[in-house]
Amino acid sequence: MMNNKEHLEELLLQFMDRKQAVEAAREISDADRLFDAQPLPALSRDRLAAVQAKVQLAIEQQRRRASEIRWFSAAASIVAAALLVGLYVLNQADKDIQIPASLYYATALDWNRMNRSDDSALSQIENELRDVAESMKSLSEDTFKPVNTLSLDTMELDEIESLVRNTEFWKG
Amino acid sequence: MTESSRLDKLINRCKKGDPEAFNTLIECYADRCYAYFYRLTGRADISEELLSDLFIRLFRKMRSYESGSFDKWIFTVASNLFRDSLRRQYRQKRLIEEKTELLRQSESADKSNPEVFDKLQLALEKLDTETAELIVLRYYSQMSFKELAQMRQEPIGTTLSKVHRGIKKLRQIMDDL
Repeated sequence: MMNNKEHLEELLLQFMDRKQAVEAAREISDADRLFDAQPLPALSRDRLAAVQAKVQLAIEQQRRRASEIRWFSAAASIVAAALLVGLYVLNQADKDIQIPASLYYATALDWNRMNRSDDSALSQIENELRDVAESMKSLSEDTFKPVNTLSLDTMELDEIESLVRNTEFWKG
Repeated sequence: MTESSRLDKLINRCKKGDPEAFNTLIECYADRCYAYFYRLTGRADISEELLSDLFIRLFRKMRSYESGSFDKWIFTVASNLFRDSLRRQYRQKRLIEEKTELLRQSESADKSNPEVFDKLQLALEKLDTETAELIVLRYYSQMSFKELAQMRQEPIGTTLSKVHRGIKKLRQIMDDL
């Protein structure tokens, strides 16, 4: 079985004298012949097939696991990307809602202008609001009258008791 | 087409994940790798388990193989796998206990039956793991001393010396058996 291409003696000569090298080369070659003379029984077809099946199964499992990891990574990437896009869009939307300062000032200027031009209308609205507030105030003062509910109940009970005592209706 | 270019083609197909090519690769290397594990463990079931693990590991690492001796690469992975399995303390303990039992059984077996009695196996089991692995690796991987030394990251002289001493010791143990 041994099929080394190297020249053993030449190699050994680098480390020992010729006599020793020849002896060592012979001993090493003898050992190879010893292995050749006592070969192991080859792996049977059945056992080889069993090993192949086991390896193929492991490879398949490994592939499936790798595929699962790939899918999971892809899904995680998509979710992460969607989140990032969502956050970006929300951020942009917030920015859109914010009124630009120039617009804000423009509106304020409009109010000022309206105040100056429609003073009479404003005072009318103010008067109406004041009237409503007054009427609500008076209405609440009229209706809110605290009542002693406990004394009323006691009184009613006394009346019922005296009525029952005087009539003695149960006697027939 | 030469043997080398056929192997290169097969490896390329394996790299692409062709299951049929991988099955062919298993058929090409199964016997040698199984023998390598068997000589080191002395157990058919453990050797088969290691063989399956080896090809699963090879499939995972296949893309990392670029060029150079494929035999060297495959047996480097096999050697690492064997060492990993030894490192696992509980397994090592079990292996030693079972090896002792196997040795006891083999010694009491009928020595005239070559199927039951393998002197070489017994002698290898009596060697220290590192030496036994080196001798077995050299024989089954068909690696040159230069490649072995590169794999073990040691000077070639050290590898040569270890193999030579190991073989002498193996001979001595076999003579004593």
